[in-house]
Amino acid sequence: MHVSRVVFAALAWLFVGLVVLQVFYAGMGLLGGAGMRQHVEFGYVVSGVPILVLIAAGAARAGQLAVYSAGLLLITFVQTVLPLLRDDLPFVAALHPVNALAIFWLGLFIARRATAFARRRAEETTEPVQAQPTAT
Amino acid sequence: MPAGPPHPPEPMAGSDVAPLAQRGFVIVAWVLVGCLVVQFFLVGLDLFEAMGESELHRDFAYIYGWLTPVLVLLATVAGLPRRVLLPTVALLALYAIQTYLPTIADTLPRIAALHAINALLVFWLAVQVARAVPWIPGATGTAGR
Repeated sequence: MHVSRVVFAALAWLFVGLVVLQVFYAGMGLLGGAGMRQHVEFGYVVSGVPILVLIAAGAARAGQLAVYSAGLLLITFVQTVLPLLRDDLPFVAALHPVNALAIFWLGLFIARRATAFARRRAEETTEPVQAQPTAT
Repeated sequence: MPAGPPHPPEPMAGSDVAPLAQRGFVIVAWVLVGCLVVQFFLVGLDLFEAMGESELHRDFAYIYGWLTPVLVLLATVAGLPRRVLLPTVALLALYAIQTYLPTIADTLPRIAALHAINALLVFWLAVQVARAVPWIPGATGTAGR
């Protein structure tokens, strides 16, 4: 049980790190002269991670955190769809950076809560054992 | 004329200003957070050319950019503790860096590309600063809970 909580926290932090990297690739595309291809391709890699986060949350029986993880999966999926709407619904597509902010914020929230969740369990399992009375 | 009981000391002018400055700080901090969210949306508008070729994102940055020095001023007048004042000064510094980064896109593109990550950092810090200060002076903020 404890291992699944640690895995859950690790995956959540991995996701936050990948989101930061993805934002950097966006910056490289816009200001670094690298084009948006790297950002687009890496986006599909990043968008797969919330599935693992959700599975890990379920395995760790994370309760409400599993619900938040499902929400994270949903808005990450929406993120991949938004740029496709640029021709038909450009004002909706323009929510792509705002949604990125929401993904970063929710990912960070889940990662911090998952860490506290794993630590709580670790403390429960490492409670000091009472000294056994010794025969004198 | 007989001497009456001593009058209580007159409150200093600063003691009236400090609570007002603290409330002003809270308002300005949350307005800044709202402007940052709008700013992210304007990036999208420019990027996907929803309004044609526009520079709304850049123009809007100069409209609300003055809020960060105002926050430092209000924090000083309100006598906010160092744990709030220092992040507020850091926010001002990060915002200045944010406006500078695009100007070096031609010479240092990899550094300029940090503009997007710094935007996340500015937003995160702005929320932390806004949450750190309570509306009612003397109460405790919510940051770190």
